[in-house]
Amino acid sequence: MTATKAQDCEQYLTIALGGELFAIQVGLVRDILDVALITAVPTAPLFVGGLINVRGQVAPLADLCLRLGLPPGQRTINTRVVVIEIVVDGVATIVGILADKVYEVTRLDAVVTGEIPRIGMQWRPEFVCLLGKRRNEFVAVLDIDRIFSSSLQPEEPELREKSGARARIGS
Amino acid sequence: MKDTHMLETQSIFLEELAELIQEIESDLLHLETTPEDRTLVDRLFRNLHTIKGGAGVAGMEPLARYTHAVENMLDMLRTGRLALSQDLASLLLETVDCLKSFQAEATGEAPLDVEKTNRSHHKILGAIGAGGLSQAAAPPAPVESPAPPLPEQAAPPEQTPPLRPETFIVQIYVRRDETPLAEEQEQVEAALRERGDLLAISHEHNLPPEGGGEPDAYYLWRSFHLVASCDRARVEEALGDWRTRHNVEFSTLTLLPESPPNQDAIDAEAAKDAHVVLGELACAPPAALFDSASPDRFQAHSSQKLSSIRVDIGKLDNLVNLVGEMITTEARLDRFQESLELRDTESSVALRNILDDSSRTLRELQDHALNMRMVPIGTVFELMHRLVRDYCRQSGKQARLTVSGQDTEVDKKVCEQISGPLKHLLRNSLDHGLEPPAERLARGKKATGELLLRAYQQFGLILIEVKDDGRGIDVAQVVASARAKGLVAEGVELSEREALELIFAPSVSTAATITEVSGRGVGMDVVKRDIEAMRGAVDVVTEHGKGTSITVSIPLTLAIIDGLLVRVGESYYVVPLSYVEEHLEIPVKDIRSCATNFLDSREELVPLLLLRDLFHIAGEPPITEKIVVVTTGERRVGLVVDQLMGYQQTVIKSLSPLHKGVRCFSGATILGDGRVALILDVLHLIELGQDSAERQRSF
Repeated sequence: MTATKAQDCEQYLTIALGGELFAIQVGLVRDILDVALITAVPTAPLFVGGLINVRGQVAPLADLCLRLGLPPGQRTINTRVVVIEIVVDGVATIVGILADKVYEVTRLDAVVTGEIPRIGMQWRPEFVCLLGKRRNEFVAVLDIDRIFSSSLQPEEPELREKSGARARIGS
Repeated sequence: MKDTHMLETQSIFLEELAELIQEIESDLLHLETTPEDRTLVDRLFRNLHTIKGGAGVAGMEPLARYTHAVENMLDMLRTGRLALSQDLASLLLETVDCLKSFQAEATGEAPLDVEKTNRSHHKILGAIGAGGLSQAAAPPAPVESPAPPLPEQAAPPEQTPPLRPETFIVQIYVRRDETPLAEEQEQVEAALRERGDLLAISHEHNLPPEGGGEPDAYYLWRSFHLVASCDRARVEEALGDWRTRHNVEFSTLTLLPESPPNQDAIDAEAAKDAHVVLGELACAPPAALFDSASPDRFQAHSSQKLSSIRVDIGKLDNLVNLVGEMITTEARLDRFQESLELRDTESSVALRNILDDSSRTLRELQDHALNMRMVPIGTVFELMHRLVRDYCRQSGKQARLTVSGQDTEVDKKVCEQISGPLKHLLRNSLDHGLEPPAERLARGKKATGELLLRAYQQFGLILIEVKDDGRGIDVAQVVASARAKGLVAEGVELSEREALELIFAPSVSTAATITEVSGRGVGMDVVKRDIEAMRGAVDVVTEHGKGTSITVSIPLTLAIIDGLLVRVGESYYVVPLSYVEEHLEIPVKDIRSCATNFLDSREELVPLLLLRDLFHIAGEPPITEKIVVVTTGERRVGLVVDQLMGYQQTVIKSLSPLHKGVRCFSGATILGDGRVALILDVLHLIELGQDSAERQRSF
């Protein structure tokens, strides 16, 4: 992790994932929806294992807890889908992100510079681009591009395993 | 404000430029095989004029100068002062590359290859010089040519040859509330017309609406293209007090001095072409169209050309999407109506009728919307001629490409995505398929290899065949290569079909030697992946020593399919109807207890895929399960599902790049209740089923 930019005046949407506080740059966010019917996509990487209908468009639904190495969140009355627009492989794509709770749009009070302390953080640090403070709480800003760009590589062994399972069927 | 206008002009021009370059390239290639075809030369000449004129208007001076030289060379070709040699043909093809470089620079894709264009420019001037024109090869530097002073009563240019006519471009910018009156305008135009051939272009649409816009801003209102043999002062004089009342900009189209007679009349027409959307191009020599410049002639010409318009592909996509939404909504209405039917018969029937009407109209709308996206595949095929030609010149092999079915229409998206895979396939045929001439003769074949590129329609699919009469694929060698790479274990015997499938595996090569063009074992896997991304398939037939035929099949449209909706547990899937052969009902124990999982259908064992197991769907299967037999004609597989939900039209939404590793599904769709259903990739499932079937047989 490299030193972060000293000053940060961007706005963030803060959300809860697996009991921790995270933030997404507001510029990426398109929509915040209630959880509707989720269609499972068999053989897909687990953390993008679903599809949802976002106002007539089909969007993948991501459970970032699985990506960040956090315990999976429980579906509650507070669970929301944060719809973001990102570029994956050069294609503008809308993606839904499951959030245990959506808090607010805010600026960060302070930005932690230098090494991100490993202590007390449960998530995988490579998916966080900035650590800030908000009302004396640590907020981890998610590196959305990185989360989704390299998304398929670590899942490959699992895919292969599944295709092995597929081949067994019928024999 | 000048800049925005310029940008707009430029973007219109750039769109045309791309088309013109493609047409020029294709014409040049045809010209090589039919050098006596006059219409080709004429059209080439015309297209270059159009580029030159457009480049001038769009402010791309270097391009204008360059095309001017090319045009002169073509003129000499046209009038027989130059003969079409191999070298000249190559030179002309080089110009296409240079034009593309200019284009790439203008679109910001790549910087201009200055060295290449300059070299080409010099070569062209050299060729013109060799053709006996009095002008020696002049450097391609901008040549400012101020018009010589002129006596007051200037005669028309035709009668005073020493005086070179010049093309003035006069642009009038006005304030919103100071638009010149109609009679004033007539006066000025008449005065200009006295001085030469005039083309007036209205930019009224540029002006903001009444009361809108900034009051002090100037907007481009008219531009005049004047081909006149007088100096600038005389032209200014014609404008009267407009020069002080409005913002008037003057420019001239710079011409190289060796311009042949009648050049400028042509320039004016070329300039005009740059502003008119290109429809069918007339093939008559431009001079004949433009002997005397009457404004009526322009008008007639323009309106004729406007029979087609250019539409942004994004807008068409939106239209198709909206039609798709309508179809989804209609499905909902249908279902709603059906739930009413039992309760109130009379009004229900009335509603049914209305729905039927709307459904018919909607189908028609859908057909039209999809049709608008269709383009003839010939545009892609044209690119292939160049590829074959260049390859043959480099390699010393001889090949003739025969093309058929160019008029077959395919979705614009298919057209864009198919050219890469087709190039790959052709290159493979040229490199690995066709033998060198000597070897061909030794085998009793003609020295020139035959390549066939054919498109046709069948079963809602577009089939494109790439065929050669070369040496064919040595299946044994493919298997050996795969074994060496560890893709096939020792001792495992492969069927012919499996062995041929290996050429699509990464890093397997059929070539004994690696050449610059192909043979590195990358290629066929990429081809297959690209084709499958379009929901298509690749099929290979080869005969050792006789040749190879590779057929690519792609769905007619990428937007909408007819589907059979099936349910497994809580999940819904769509099976594309074009693959469905039949559906059967079968007691669950018959499937599950049967060790082989084969269905005995029509004296053939059909492998079964239990979607519940395949997709790890929770829950118990019902007492009787349904089997949907899907087929590609030869191969078939039975999909075991819980329930058949019925037929429906389905708008395909492609899966996001996040799901690119998912192979069992070709897309998704939104059902009437808003739920997302996945569309099964039948080709992939058939492959899965067949693989397990073949494994079964080998035991």
